[in-house]
Amino acid sequence: MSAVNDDLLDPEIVQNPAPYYQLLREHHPCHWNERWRGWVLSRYEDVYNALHSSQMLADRITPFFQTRLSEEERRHFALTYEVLHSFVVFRDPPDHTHLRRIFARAFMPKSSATMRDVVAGYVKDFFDEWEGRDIVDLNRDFAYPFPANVIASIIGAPREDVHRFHAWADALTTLLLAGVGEEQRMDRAQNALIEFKDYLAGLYEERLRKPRNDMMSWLMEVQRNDSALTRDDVLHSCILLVNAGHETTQDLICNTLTTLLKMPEQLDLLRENPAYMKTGIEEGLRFNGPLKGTMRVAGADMSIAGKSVREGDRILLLMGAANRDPAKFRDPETFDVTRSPNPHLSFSHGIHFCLGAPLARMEMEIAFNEMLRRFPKMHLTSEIKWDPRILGRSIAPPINLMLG
Amino acid sequence: MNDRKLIRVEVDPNLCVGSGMCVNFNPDLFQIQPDGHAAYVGRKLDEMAALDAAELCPVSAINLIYEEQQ
Repeated sequence: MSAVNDDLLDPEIVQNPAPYYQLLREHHPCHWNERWRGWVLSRYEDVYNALHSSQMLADRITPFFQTRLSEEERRHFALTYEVLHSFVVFRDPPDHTHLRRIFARAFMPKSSATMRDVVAGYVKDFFDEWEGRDIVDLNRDFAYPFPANVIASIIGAPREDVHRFHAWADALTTLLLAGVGEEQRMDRAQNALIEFKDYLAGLYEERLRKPRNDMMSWLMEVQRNDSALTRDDVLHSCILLVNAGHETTQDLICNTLTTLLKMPEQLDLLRENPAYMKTGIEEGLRFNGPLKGTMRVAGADMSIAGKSVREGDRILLLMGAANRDPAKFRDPETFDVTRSPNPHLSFSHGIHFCLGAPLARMEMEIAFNEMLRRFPKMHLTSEIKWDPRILGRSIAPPINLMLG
Repeated sequence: MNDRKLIRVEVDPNLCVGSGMCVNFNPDLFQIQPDGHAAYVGRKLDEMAALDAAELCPVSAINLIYEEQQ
């Protein structure tokens, strides 16, 4: 009976979600998606309230394992559960409060600022390499390796090892961001987690003997004074940081630049007025942020937009739809590098607000300033094809740019 | 500079994302309001704690207002 298409991976929705979001916002603000088996929220106010509500639980890992897997599967995937369940993004207070407090100082704006020279150095290296080339693949030649190098530096992994993160991070992302129809995605993710953890355990052992000036050593120092933090917590946290700090930034770079390249007047405005870079990056986040949505589980029975949501129900919060809600943003379908204020929800909001936001903003600012200055004539020669993902918003590689 | 008098701790509602970091570290001084934004609710002005909270804020939304700035 529902007039709403419940296939969130319908190619039409994946390629251009805006009309679908508008339909949801205007006529089905709290929609039961039978195919996904959960509620979908799309209005700014509802998504905002859900992100700030203590009744909306972030631990969707435990219910998934308890209700969707057989006992045998639960045993088989015990390690996956253990790792994912220790991620701060999937924890609720009071555990969340404790974990978040540990990371707070490492990621506060002042700490991220100390990475400025390292980030600028990587940016320069990559773009030096672009000089003299006619065509580059934005993804392979910059957007993928750049944040991977930055996060590896932060954790303390040697630069030569960065390529090994790729397959591991990809397997985990496919599981978490709901890639399309991959039967083996849980097995792939578990194998990746085993290898990744084993690799990080090696770095951990080295630092037991000889601490360094990096995040892993710092977490180990915290661990020595905090009995609630275990060796596994340190290793799992590093897995989370690599995953969270890497692909999201990669997508933000690709989504924002390709959006801008289709709007030459906006690009010129940015190039000629570097003062707009900050608001321009926020607009990139709002318009095509790396996450279309995130998931919560109802912690109690509640009523949302007239619908009865029951305790334990899954809820999809569409930040992508909220970010284009005309009730909150004037001309929401217009990309405007000067938009301010811009209270988009792309870094989430409330207690799960992205820990790495100051770092991501700095990476973007340095990269875009340098790229626009050095390659003023670049233009897109690939067609943009968005990946079929329920939560993530990413572009299928290659993303070819003609530089001359 | 040292004798500047702190008169107010402000949280910019246009910047605050309700991450609760200020509340996490200083639950007696900061509180999340019904609209999702944080506010300084301490009965006394604690300059050291407010400075620490301002540093910890992921979006730099906390400002210390001193008398001279008026």
